[in-house]
Amino acid sequence: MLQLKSLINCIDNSGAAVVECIQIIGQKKLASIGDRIVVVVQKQSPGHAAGMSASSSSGKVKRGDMRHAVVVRTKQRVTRRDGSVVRFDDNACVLINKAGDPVGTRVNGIVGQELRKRKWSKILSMAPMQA
Amino acid sequence: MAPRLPARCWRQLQTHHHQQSTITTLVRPRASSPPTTTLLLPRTTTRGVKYGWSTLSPRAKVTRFNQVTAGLPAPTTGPAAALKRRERTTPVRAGVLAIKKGMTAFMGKAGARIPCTVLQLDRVQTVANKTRAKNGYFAVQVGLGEKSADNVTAPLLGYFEAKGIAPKRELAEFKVRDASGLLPVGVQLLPDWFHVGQWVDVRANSRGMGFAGGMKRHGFKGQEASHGNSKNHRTIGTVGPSQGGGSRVYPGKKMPGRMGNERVTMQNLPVLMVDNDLGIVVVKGCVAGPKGCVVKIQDAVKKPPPPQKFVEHSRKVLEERFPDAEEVLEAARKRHLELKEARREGRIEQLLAAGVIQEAAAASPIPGDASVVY
Amino acid sequence: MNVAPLSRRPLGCLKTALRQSRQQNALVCRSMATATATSQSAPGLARLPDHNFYQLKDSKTKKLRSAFAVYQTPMVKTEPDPKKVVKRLPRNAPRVPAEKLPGFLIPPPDPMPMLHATQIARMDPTGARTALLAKTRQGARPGDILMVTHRRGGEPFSGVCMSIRRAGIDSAVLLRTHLNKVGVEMWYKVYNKNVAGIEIVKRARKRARRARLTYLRQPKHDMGSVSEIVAQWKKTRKIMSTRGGGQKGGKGKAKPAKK
Repeated sequence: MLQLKSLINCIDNSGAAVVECIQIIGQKKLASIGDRIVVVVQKQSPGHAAGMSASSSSGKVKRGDMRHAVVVRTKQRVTRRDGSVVRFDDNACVLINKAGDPVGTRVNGIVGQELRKRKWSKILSMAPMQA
Repeated sequence: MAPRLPARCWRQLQTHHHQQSTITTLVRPRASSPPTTTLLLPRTTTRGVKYGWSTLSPRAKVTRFNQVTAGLPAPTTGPAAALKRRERTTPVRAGVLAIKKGMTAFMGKAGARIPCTVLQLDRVQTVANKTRAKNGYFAVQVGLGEKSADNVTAPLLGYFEAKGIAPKRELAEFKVRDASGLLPVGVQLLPDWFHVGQWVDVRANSRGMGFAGGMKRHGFKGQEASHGNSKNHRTIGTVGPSQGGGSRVYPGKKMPGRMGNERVTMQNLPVLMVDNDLGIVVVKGCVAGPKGCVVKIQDAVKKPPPPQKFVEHSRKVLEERFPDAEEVLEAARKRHLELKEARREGRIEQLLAAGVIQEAAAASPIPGDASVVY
Repeated sequence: MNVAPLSRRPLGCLKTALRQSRQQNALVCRSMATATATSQSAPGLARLPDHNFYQLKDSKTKKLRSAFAVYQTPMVKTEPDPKKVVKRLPRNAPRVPAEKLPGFLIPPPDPMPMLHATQIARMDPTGARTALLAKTRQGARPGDILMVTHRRGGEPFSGVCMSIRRAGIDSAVLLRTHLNKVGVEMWYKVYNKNVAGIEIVKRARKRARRARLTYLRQPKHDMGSVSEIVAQWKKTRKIMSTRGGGQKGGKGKAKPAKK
């Protein structure tokens, strides 16, 4: 249930730590797992922030950047076809470019299985676990 | 359409017709109607289905000039045209009344969970038929459950007495397309009236929410929390324009008021299960209203009707189960007329004391003391 | 059906009526004669369902004002106990003989338990899942650590049972754990085919004094990841199964854990 102004954790190594939702792609009011959103990077991850001046390659995005992202975890419960329900303790997303490819090279946390249905196979293959 | 004459003119015909018809035997010829001549039309105008819907004086009636036979197209207004118009959206078969028993789920073999609603048919019986000739449309009146005679008014007691069935908790009409959809009176409709996989429309009154404000009832935005707002955070604001708009509130303006408890139709719900023993019809998805509310189930209007074969089959099953429904109805009506006469003449007490008791004892299959029945 | 008002009716009225009728013998005979005459003319009269008379009385004088025949829903006469609610007829052919009254099926007042029972019997023929939900010592309880294995392979999900929703076929358990340092909660429908089996990994040390352990979401009470406990349990189970020889794996079966 992510909407305008929602603050979301970014769990890839793109360099963003916390992003803010400014738009949901598609005629939707609220974003759930697998939805594409437009975000603004609000906070960079500490490692990348330090090394940004030294090497521009490590941190791909910086504060204030506007990027697309895919929601991979929500605190709001998501019901599945078999009646099971999943709920995570935080909201998380993975940054992507306009073409739909992930900006980062790694995904650090668990992602929801709904991504499979929504054909985000690249993110799924990068994730260590799915639930 | 044939020229509509006042019913008085063709009453003789009508009485003759009803004696041979079996389905429309509900229409009783009035024995005490004043003698009327077919030639002299009455001067007074009486409006109603019995006399024709026009308020025009029968003498001033001009419809006889506007007939199809005169080369004019069939009228697009009037009862016949209305029935014709609604023909496509009127189900072929009657529906049933049921009680919502709650929601549960079906677990599919592939792992899918299908939420469903359980509707129970409790002693659902056909009570009456409405016909085009008598009522202006075709419909089947269906009753549900049973009611203590304490809670039934005398007119209704007489009504049920004439039908030979127990007083029903609920009565509802189901419009059907034509006379072929009418059912014998007094038969029980079981869940196998529907078949698994068919679509139904389910109607029920939604849960009443009581008096609700504009925000809850109509989704109004409400007003600001601050910026000088004083005690008007959830009020509806203005109800209309000023002088330019006529300085009035337009009819139908959405306002606070009673929310819920209104008819909600869920269309095209697939039937997942029917069980005669449990008396249940299980439909997919949700149905408005709380548990225990009365719902109407009928074949879906927006889907193709059940196959003709099934319609015939369900009809046949019904007739096999209750082969003597018409005789029972006829007997009940005779008995009703006797009792009615007795009530009118004030000898019901004597009848109760003597005649009827013995008769009832003879009629009841359990041989026993008359006082048992009494 | 209308037994209550009849039983409440004072018999004195009946007596008076009878006495009156005896006195007015001639009239009664006449009325009886007409009645029988019509009944004979009507062939179906004998098949009328049972009825008694509901009497309307004047509230002041207590005199009979009117009376109506109130029919009873005819039921199958083979049922000896009239109080029994469930009337059963053969499903397909309740063909009633002509001399018999048509039988009416009166459904049970609450069909839900029976519906659930049939559904559960279909989805859980071994009864293992039902045993897991039972409120016995063998059943799962909030606070226990459960492991759910999926039918389509994949990692089994283990977590602390936060609550159990007992709703017939729709029963479910709520599990919570941490995966990759993120709290994850899952509701699993116990009778769903996608759930291959549910096993109790570890019992709660003390009985939880709440039915829903929502406090486990607070950092203070959060149990964190249960993966270590599960891994340990798996190890011991492996040892036991090899020693025991014939013990089968937990797949497709929900069985209580070995202590």
